[in-house]
Amino acid sequence: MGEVLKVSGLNKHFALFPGPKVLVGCQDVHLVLGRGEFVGITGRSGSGKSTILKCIYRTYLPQSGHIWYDSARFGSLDLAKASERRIAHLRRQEIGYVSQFLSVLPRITAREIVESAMLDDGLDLPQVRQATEKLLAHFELDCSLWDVFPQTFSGGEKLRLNIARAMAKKPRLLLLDEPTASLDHESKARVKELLVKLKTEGTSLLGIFHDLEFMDGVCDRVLAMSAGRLTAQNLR
Amino acid sequence: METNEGAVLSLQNFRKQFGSGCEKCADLDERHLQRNYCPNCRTTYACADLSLDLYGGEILGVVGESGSGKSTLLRCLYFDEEASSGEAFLQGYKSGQVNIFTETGQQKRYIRNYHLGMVYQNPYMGLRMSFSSIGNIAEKLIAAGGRSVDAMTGRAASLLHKVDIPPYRFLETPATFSGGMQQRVQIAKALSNNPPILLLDEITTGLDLSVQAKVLDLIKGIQRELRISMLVVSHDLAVIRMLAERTIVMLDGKIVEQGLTDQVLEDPQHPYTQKLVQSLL
Ligand SMILES: Nc1ncnc2c1ncn2[C@@H]1O[C@H](COP(=O)(O)OP(=O)(O)OP(=O)(O)O)[C@@H](O)[C@H]1O
Ligand SMILES: Nc1ncnc2c1ncn2[C@@H]1O[C@H](COP(=O)(O)OP(=O)(O)O)[C@@H](O)[C@H]1O
Ligand SMILES: [Mg+2]
Ligand SMILES: [Mg+2]
Ligand SMILES: [Zn+2]
Repeated sequence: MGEVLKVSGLNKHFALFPGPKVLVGCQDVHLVLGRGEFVGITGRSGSGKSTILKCIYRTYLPQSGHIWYDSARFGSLDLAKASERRIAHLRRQEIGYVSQFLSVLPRITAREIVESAMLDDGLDLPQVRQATEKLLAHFELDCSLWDVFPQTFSGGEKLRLNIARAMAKKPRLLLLDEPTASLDHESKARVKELLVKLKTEGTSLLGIFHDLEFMDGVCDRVLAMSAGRLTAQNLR
Repeated sequence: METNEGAVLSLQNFRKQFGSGCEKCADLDERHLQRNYCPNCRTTYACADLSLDLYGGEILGVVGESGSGKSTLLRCLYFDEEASSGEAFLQGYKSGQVNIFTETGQQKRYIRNYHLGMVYQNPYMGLRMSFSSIGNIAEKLIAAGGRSVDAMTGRAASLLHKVDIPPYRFLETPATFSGGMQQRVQIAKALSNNPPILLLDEITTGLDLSVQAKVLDLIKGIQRELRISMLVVSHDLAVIRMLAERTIVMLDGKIVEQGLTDQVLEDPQHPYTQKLVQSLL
């Protein structure tokens, strides 16, 4: 099994403005994600989990370390140093990010959110219309919600839409930052099914979860973090 | 020089100064400048040697405090004012081989009419308030070579429809419209010649929130459907976050930081950006 992602010696700290105080985000992180693998990360709040994911997505610029990613388009490249243009391309085509919150334009409907994700991929409109409806139905978003602005959606509906948007691109790598926090049991089970389905379709996943029971059925490995460092390579 | 690969607009060492400059400030030596101003010769360096690339289909955000040179940048690109020095290349114009700043007045008008659209912060700058809404758009279409009245009227009507102006108001002058409607007529006008590049200056400033949302929504929709590249200037970081994939941060006529928008906002590297983000988010 080849590697999709290989993080080595990753350091990220934050210099707080103003003044000399420095906060540790993550320190000397090493991790490997095999192709088609699903790796979970767990740990206390503030331990640096999101920092790792955001460095990979390049929302944060790491101070040092390498994030080797095996891209379909560019081959192996270091996400810590790749150009903005390449990162922007990868975000459109290969790497998805699902956070707990859905940030959307106020007046864009659920349908348009998923459509625009696919239009980025260069599909034409009739194809996109059809694929969008299929995906929304698959995520059991009631069709009465398709043309509604998602501001008013429940937490679970927003999350499912969020994952639908990420899935629309069939990402090579999907980063999940606590997508199941605040979901009820039923919704969690649905998300779990969908993640398993994505995995079987070839997506590699790296996700932050608090819920060990949730990870039990889906994650190949679970890593633990504490005070900015990975402390255990496999909890399972 | 020429455009970088994939860039529809490539700007290199662009300078705009108000004043003649002197031997002390000519090389922008910071020791002789107070921010963007030389007290010795009273020259303001509104844009002090900027370089940037705008890529096909992308929205590039430009943020920075009042007076940092954002509007000057757009006005010079649209030839409302003359650049003092530097080069700009458009992929679609003479294959990106020619510095548009040194073209003739006639060529500049051509570039303006065929390659660029501009939406000003102040609708009075971009619209003729004594013309009807349709007339405003027809004016731009005529400048871009339109001849057939029927075709132009049809195109104007479909653009106004696109920006949600009700048909029964097409013949009214924009002077009677609300601020948000005026901005939408400006956007329709800027789109009328199918420009590959749109320049937008503070287009939501002064509009109330629900109207802002409508204008932002329109911009996003235009980018999604027409894949026009846009340079979006805004004070409002929330606007930039919603619209721009990449962002540049300006201070005293210079670019102090640029990056992917979420990175610039969540992990700013320059002290000025850190301050900006903290005070405005
Ligand atoms: N015609 C002019 N004559 C002299 N100075 C000028 C002129 N136009 C602009 N400036 C100066 O150039 C600098 C940049 O002005 P500009 O209008 O580009 O700022 P801006 O970033 O758009 O600000 P704002 O956010 O307030 O719109 C300022 O110091 C301004 O005073
Ligand atoms: N953008 C940021 N600016 C400053 N400090 C940050 C930023 N992001 C994270 N941190 C700090 O880094 C540490 C790790 O945070 P984070 O990775 O979000 O933790 P987790 O996701 O494990 O709860 C915390 O001390 C947090 O305050
Ligand atoms: Mg977190
Ligand atoms: Mg201005
Ligand atoms: Zn001087």
